[in-house]
Amino acid sequence: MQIEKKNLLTPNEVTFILIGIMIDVTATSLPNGMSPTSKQDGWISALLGAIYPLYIVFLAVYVSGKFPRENILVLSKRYLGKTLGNILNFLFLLSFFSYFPPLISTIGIIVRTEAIPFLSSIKIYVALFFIGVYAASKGIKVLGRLSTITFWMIIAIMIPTISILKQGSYLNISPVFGTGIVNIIKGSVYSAYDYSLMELIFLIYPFINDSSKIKSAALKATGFIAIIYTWITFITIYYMGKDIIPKTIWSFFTVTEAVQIDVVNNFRYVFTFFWIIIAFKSVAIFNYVCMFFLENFKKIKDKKVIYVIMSVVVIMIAKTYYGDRVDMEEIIKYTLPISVIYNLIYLTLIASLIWIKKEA
Amino acid sequence: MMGQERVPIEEVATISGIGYDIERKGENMMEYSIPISTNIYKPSGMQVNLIFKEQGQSLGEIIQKRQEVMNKKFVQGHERVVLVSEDYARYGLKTIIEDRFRNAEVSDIANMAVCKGKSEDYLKYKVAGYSNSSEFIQGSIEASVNYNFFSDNYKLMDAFVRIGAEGRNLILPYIEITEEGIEITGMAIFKEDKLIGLANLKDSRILNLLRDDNVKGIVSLQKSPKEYIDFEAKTGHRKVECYKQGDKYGFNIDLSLEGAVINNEMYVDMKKDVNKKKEFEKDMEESIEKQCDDFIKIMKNDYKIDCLGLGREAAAKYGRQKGTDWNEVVCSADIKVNVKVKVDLQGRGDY
Repeated sequence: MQIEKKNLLTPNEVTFILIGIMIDVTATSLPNGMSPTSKQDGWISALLGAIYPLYIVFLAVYVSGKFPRENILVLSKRYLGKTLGNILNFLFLLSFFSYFPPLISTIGIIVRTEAIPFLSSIKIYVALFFIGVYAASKGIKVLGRLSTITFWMIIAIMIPTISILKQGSYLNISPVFGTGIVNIIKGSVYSAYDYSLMELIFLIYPFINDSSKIKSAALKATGFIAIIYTWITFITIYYMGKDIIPKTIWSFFTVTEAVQIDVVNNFRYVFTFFWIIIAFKSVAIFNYVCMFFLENFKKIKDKKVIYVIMSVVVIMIAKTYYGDRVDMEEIIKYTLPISVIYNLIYLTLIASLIWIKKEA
Repeated sequence: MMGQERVPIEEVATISGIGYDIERKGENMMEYSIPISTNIYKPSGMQVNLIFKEQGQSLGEIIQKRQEVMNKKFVQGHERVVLVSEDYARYGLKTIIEDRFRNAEVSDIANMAVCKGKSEDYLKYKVAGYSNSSEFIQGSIEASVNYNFFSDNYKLMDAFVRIGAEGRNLILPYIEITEEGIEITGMAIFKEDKLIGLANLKDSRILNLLRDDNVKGIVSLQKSPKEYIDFEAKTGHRKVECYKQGDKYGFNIDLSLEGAVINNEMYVDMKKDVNKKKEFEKDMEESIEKQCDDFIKIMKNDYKIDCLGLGREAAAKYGRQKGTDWNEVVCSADIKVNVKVKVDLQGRGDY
């Protein structure tokens, strides 16, 4: 696959895209997932969860070192034969796809709860896809730039939350390690789900203009995400205490209201506004990824039609099966572990095949 | 506001204060009654304040009934105070907290207060110079931090994070309508979500002093109407040391008061004489320690709960989620208060 030089991504853009796909709207409910098991030590769990993306980065660096210009889909067909390779690739697509309808459904629910209750969910979905598909159809370079912008947005809305340190209490997080190592590790399994989708790196590493930088780019992304997730969990527990977190749905939204800035009468609205823009970027990346997979199976002439069909399918699935939060959780409970475990097995398999073949 | 459709301000009624009342109608029968104070803007630029009060079996029923008598769209998020009547508070704040917590449009930084009698009367009360009383009540709660050692932890958000938390209890200002108008007359003390006791202003001062960090107030010593000394103090960070002997817990509370002497008719030549100053500081420390011990006795015997947040300190040290009843632990614990008084300023002279 030859790509024009100017369309290649800079290492920074790779970092931002990886951050972009991992940080989506659900990060605001990250502390909720951890609090039942790791209680006041949830933030340690959030930090430990970063082991999962680190492992993926380790595999990616190895594979990209051997084949810097071929992505995982091509490699799996080469090493496993066309049929088996295609089947596994398709399952890999499904594992990515399983995040897509819940993502847009969550965006819809958050937008309607926190910002504009009078909009129907279908209107929000359509708006999401208009922007998402348009950005995705412009190619990976545009996604890189979009992710750069949203990265700075994330920084801009996270910095004011530091001021909450004045209002909470260290009593809420102590005793540190009080819940025991076992519970902390159990909690970190949950946070690993929020770290998932780092697997995207296996699709985009051929696009980087300097292959030697892939390692630092991926590590930077992991480090940044780990810091943001740990911070979100830490400050939420620090401010609210572990008893109140389970009472909320997106605990971090409630925490942002504690930020008091002159002129701004409610920081939560500012935060929600930017958070929704960040959500748009996730939708764009997902659209791109799905199209990327489909193109790999079969050369697509008319991308527009496929995009429209894809959007309709995703909206239909989101409307029918993921309409309500409770329904959604019920399905995610199964799809999340399956897709994480599958991705781990699949990527480890390909990487080890490359390693074995080289030895032989 | 983001949470609403765009309509001209003349077509909406914005909330400025909300009250929660309850009416008992025999055994197991009761009705909620919710007065709200709204601001309505006339096309001429005039602003009027209207009170809407409805009753119903549930809070949702009230919202529906309210629209029947209201000719405008109701907009939330600008409320300044959430008033709870004493009866409602004794019945339990759970329903209020649920109503406020679930709704993402309300303002979490509205001030809360418990009022004697019906909250409706407070919202209706005409305060000279104010278009509505909610603004006045909010102002008086916010300004209370200047004296009497009040803190600024009486917002809705503070109630959220205290009621359900381990080792914490809520306290709120208690207001009354007196001859002088609406007045803060003490503190309402809650156990979980239920009001269990009222402290008068004298006890409230000590309660606030013991409970909160960085609060301001005046403490005095007096021998006779002509001989007294007033000390305007600011406390620092409250230090609590928690220890355990066998099954029994103990707490040492270290308070430090630093501030200025604002009246001195008792200790002659204090501004020159170091020993006089030390004498005053020692007398003051003893006096405050005694008041604190008296209050702790009241707390242990009358309220029978931990309204000082000591359980939280113990939970942070000895671990959470063990099913310990911190109210019981604190009430049977040995609590010692050590006060440190430091005269920092003595004004511009001694006359």
